[in-house]
Amino acid sequence: MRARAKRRSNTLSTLFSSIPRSRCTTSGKTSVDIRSHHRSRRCFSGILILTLSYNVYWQIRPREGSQSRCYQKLNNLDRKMMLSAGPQQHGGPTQHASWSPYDNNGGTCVAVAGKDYCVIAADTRMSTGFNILTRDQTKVCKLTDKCLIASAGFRADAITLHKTLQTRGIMYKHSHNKSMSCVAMAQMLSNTLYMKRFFPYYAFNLLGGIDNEGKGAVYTYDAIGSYERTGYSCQGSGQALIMPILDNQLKAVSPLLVPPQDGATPLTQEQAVDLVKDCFATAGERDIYTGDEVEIYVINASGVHKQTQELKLD
Amino acid sequence: MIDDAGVHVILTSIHNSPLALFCITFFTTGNFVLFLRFNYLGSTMDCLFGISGDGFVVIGADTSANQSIVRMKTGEDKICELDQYKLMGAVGDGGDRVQFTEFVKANLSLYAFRNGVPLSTHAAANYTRGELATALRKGPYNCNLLVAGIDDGQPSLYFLDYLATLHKMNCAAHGYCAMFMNSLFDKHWVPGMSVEEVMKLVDLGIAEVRARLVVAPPNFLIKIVDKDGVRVLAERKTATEN
Amino acid sequence: MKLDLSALLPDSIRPKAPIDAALDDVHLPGPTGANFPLPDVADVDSFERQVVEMVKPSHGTTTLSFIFQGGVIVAVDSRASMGPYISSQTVKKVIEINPYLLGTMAGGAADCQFWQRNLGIQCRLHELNNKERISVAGASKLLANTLFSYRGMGLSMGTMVAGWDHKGPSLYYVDSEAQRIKGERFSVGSGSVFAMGILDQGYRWDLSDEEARELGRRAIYHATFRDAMSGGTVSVYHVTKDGWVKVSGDDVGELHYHYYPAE
Repeated sequence: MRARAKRRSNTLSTLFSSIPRSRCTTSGKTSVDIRSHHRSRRCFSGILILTLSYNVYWQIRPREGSQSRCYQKLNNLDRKMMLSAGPQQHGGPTQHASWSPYDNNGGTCVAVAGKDYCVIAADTRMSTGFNILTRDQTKVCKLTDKCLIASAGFRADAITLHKTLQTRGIMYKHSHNKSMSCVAMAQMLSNTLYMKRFFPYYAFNLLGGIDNEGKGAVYTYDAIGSYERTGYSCQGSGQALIMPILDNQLKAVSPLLVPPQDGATPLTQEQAVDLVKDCFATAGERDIYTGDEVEIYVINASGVHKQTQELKLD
Repeated sequence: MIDDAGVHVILTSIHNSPLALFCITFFTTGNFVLFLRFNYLGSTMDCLFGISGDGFVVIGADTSANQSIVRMKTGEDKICELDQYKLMGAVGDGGDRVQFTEFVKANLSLYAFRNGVPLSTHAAANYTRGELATALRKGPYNCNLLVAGIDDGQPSLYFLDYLATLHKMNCAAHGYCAMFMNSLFDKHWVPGMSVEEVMKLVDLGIAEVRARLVVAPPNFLIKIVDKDGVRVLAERKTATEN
Repeated sequence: MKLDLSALLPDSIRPKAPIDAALDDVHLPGPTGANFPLPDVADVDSFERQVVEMVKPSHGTTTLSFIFQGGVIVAVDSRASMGPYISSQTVKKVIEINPYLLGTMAGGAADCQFWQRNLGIQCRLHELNNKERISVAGASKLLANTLFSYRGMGLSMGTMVAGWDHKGPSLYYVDSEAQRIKGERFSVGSGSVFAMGILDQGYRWDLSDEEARELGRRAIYHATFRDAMSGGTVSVYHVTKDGWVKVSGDDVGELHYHYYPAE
């Protein structure tokens, strides 16, 4: 039964991969092109959903009786099958039905800004599902002398993103003869993420550094480029564990208040580093995706300094 | 071959789509799938109707601009004055409606400017249909239209839906309100009606919609085109405008 | 060295060298939007739906704006949530497009931030080209036209463009369905229905400046009280013929005890 379903689905993806695919073009006619591109696919989307469900029905029902299970399975398969790529664009065979462009590799990043320093840290564990793939994959990347990025989520996207930012940073330096400021880098990261609005980088980013006035800066992002400058932030699998600790220890008045009040974190650099270490130790106790080792980078007037701290290995 | 669960999943997945323009129903036999497409519900909440009379055409529309369950505005004019002797009523998705009517109006003006003579109502309706039909295979405009005008004192009214079906009619309506109004129009419309008679029929229709349609809009705007040109004929309000 | 002018050619005839393809990610967006790569999947619609599931972009909001005799009031909350998680309590939901023009954000935070910033660029370019500030009608139309070209792509925005131009105060509602409505009072977002109740019953054209500001503040406060996805700080802006001023920013916790003092 299973083999039969699989054969059908393959036939299907081959069938639908022959749908002509226009390419999305730049500027000028962008709007029209994107739309036509999109709609031309939509015309067939209904077919795919319907026919899929027919197959999935066949495949699942004999093995899994419960209806809810059936739903779950359908959603899952739905997704994977719809991601099957066409042969004529890649020149290769049709992707297998169970292929997805995304994974979640877990991990946690924390950043804390002070008056004249910024601490940015991330653990080094990389997992997929319940497997630990490695214990020493760094999540932090140095972009300029005063600006570092840490990314949790999907490692492959994070690497691509880091390399893109580094490249742009270098191009900027060549054309302007100065390093990109942290503030500019923050805006650029937002734009870079948004440029992939319809096929996002599955990466959750923190940008930490020193701004033009020498103050510590932390920028926190969602996956499609919404960003905000804050005093401290946390991203990744340990976010819900660590953020409340940081709120408890560091919560400052809202920068939106009128009259404005200073929102800088009143910790010394050493206190901030200790706090970050505590946060990771705590998260490591309760989050299976956080552990092994934490890399802590301190950015201040004298440069970028790295230290590490052991976390639990289990 | 598909049980209830299967059907439900499919419908859910379509309804969940923020992009779904069409509700799709289907029958399956083996691997053959047959589709029926229905109009997108959002635009059918709007009311649009037109009645031709003796030397004039009346077009009426509701004046609500809605966003999900909220009425954002009750003073929206959905009847575009294409030129001095032409009206185009349009209902549909907010953006599509405005973009398409503005597009048509601009092109008709351009034509009249270039050639020194405007298109006839018949030509304008067919031009509009052509644009809608072309767009349908690229990026469809989800809006339903009525085109009305006077040529040499002769009134004409055209029904045009989002799939670019064009038909010349004596009276016409779009959306849910059509279900209530069409029968009244069928019963009461006769050739050569006066403005007063037509307005009576309009009020009859509006009263029925208000009495029976759950999502009846509060306010209506009625415009007329006759030998003196286009103008607002009447308003029917139950809510204060904002 | 040969000057590379291939960028000027239309995409359809431009040969795509592998190095160009690799550099795609490195190119920066132009002033009027840019090239958004789409996933190479059979069904973009459901892919985008699943992306929303995975990425959980920040959203949830109450914003309101109204015109009265003294100008325009714009009031907003400051919470952003990703599902049940509060991702920020300090979001700035009013975008200061220029000294006479404000935009509000509701819906997807990234969509709003990006396209309102883009609107700011377009408005500035208009100013440079025409030697005068853009009208509110013009600015809102620019935004609506931009959004119209992305309609059906899954953007999520409900914004108000408010300001003062040569015709006086004016206010437009623009959303990601490209709907653009002129009006005298709007409320947008998950808490908008709650705010609308307060706003509708308290609104008069001849409100004094102080009454109007208080009405905006109070409406947002009540929305934060009832809507779990709204909260943080209530910011109130007032646009007059001299441009906008931010008149208040109050923590809703403080406001609560201000309105309902503890016994």
